Amino acid sequence: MMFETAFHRAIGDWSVALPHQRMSVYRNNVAAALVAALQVRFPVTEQLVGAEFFFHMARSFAEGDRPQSPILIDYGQRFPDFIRDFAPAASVPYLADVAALESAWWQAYHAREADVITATALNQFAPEVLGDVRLVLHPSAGLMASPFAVGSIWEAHHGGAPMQEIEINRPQTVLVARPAAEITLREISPESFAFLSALQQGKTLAEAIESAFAVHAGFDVANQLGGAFSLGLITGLSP
Amino acid sequence: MTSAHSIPPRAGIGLKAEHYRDILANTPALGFFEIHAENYMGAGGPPHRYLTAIRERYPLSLHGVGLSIGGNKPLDRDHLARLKALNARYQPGLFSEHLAWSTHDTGYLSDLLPLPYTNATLNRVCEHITGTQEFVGRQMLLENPSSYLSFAESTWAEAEFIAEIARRSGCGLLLDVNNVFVSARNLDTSPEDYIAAYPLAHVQEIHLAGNDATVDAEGATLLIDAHGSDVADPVWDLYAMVIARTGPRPTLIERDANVPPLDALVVEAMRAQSILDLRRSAA
Repeated sequence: MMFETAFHRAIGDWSVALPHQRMSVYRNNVAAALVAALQVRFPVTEQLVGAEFFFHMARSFAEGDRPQSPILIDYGQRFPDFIRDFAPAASVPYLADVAALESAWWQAYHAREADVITATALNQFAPEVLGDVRLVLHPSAGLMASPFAVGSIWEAHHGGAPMQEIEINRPQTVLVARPAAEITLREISPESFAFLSALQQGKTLAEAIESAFAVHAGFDVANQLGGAFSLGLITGLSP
Repeated sequence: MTSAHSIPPRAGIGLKAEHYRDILANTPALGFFEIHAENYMGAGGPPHRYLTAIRERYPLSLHGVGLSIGGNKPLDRDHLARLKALNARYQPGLFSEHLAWSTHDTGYLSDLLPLPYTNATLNRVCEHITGTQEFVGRQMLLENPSSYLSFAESTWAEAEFIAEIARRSGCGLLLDVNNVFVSARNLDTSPEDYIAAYPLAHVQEIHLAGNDATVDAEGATLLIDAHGSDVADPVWDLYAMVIARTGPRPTLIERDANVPPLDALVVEAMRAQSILDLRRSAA
C-alpha cells in the first residue's frame, strides 16, 4: 500500500525529502523515542558529555541502528561500540567503556530470576573430580575489564567519590550482578575477573583456577570460591 | 495477588520507574495505575518486583504501544504471546492498544503511525482486533490517535470509523481527550463535533495528557501529543463535557517526558477526580 511505503521511506532514511512537510512530526517522534530509550539506559554517559552532545550522538546512532522489536528496553546493545568509533567523542576515551558498563548494569536490571545455591552443594563431589565441575553463573552477572577506572566513574555519578578524586587512567575490572533484589556493582581484582570470566564461559573449575593463577600467583582459591557463592553468583553445578 | 476486576471510575496515573519507591511508601489515593506493556517484557528484575508489589495495592491497566493493530502485516504471534502472559500474570482490569501501525518489514518504527480510513483498512483493523481478543482471551480497548495530517483517500470520518470498528469487533474504546483536541486543532476541525459523532457508549477509559505547541514548515501552529507537560485547560473543558455525557469513567493522567515528582501527578489526578465526583453527585 502506498501510504505505508511513503511513511516507511520517510522514517527509514532521515535524509530524504518528505512528500508532505507534516510527516516530519513522525520522523521526529521516531528519533525522539529511540533517543529517549538510550537516555534511560545510558544516564551516566549522558551526564559525562552533556544533554546536547548526547542527543547528537544518540540520534546519529539511531539513524543507522533501528530496533527490530517494539521492546525498546532491549534497544541500544550496540551503542557502546558506536561510541568507540564516534569521532566527536574521541576526546573522552573512557566514554565507550562507561557506556558498556551501563549496558551491563541494564542487562542485570532486566535479567531473569534464578535461585542461587550455596557452597555446600560442592560436598557431593569427591575431591578428585571437583576440578571437572562447571559452575553456572547467575544470568544477571556481567564482567567488564577496562583500561580506565569505569567502576569509580560510575560510582561518582551514583553518590560515590567525586570525579576529580578519581585516577581515571587506572585500569579496573568490575562485576555487575543482581542475585537478589538489588544490583551490585563492584570493583574486583584482575585474577577474580579471570576466574569468574572463565566460569561464565563454561570452563571447568580447574580451568578457571588456572586462568586466575595465570594473572596472579597469589590467587586464594578457597576465599574466591567462597566469595562467589556468598555473593549469590552461582546458580547451578554440572559435573 | 488480587484477581482481575474492573477498574473503578476514578483517576489514575501512568506508572513510572522513578516513582516505584514513593508509591509503595506513601500509597497515594489513586484509582489505578497504568503500565506500557512493552516496559514489562523484560525477563525479571526490579520492574517486575515493584509492579507485583504495586499490583497488590492497586488495580492495574495494561496499555500496549507496539502491537501494530493498523499494520498491513499479520499480527506478531510472539508479541501477542507476551501480551497474553502479562495479562495472565498481572490480571489487569483493562487492556488497550492503539488505532495505529508501527511495524514494517525492516522492524519496529518507534511511533504510532497513522492510517487512512477506508473499507480496506477497516477490515484489516477489525480482523486484527478480533485476532487479538481471541488470542489474549479478553476484550481490548482501542485508543483514538493524535493526528498531524489526514489522508486524501480516507472515505470515513475517524469517529464513524471507530464506531464501526467497535460495532463489528466488539472491542471497547479508550477515548484520549487530548488526542481529540490535538487532532482537531491540527486538522482544523471541531473537537466538539468529534465528540458528538463518537460512540461514547463504548468508552471504558479516558486518557488525558499535555501537548506541546510548535509551528510547522508552513508557519501553521501544530500541537504535538508529547506527554511532557500538564493537561491544557481546553482539554480539561472537553473532558468535563465528555464525562457529563458518559458518566464517571476510569481516567488516566499520562506523563512520559519531563516526569515530575509523584505528588505533582497525584495533584493532576485529583483535578480529574474532582470532575468525576462532580458528575457523580449530579447524577
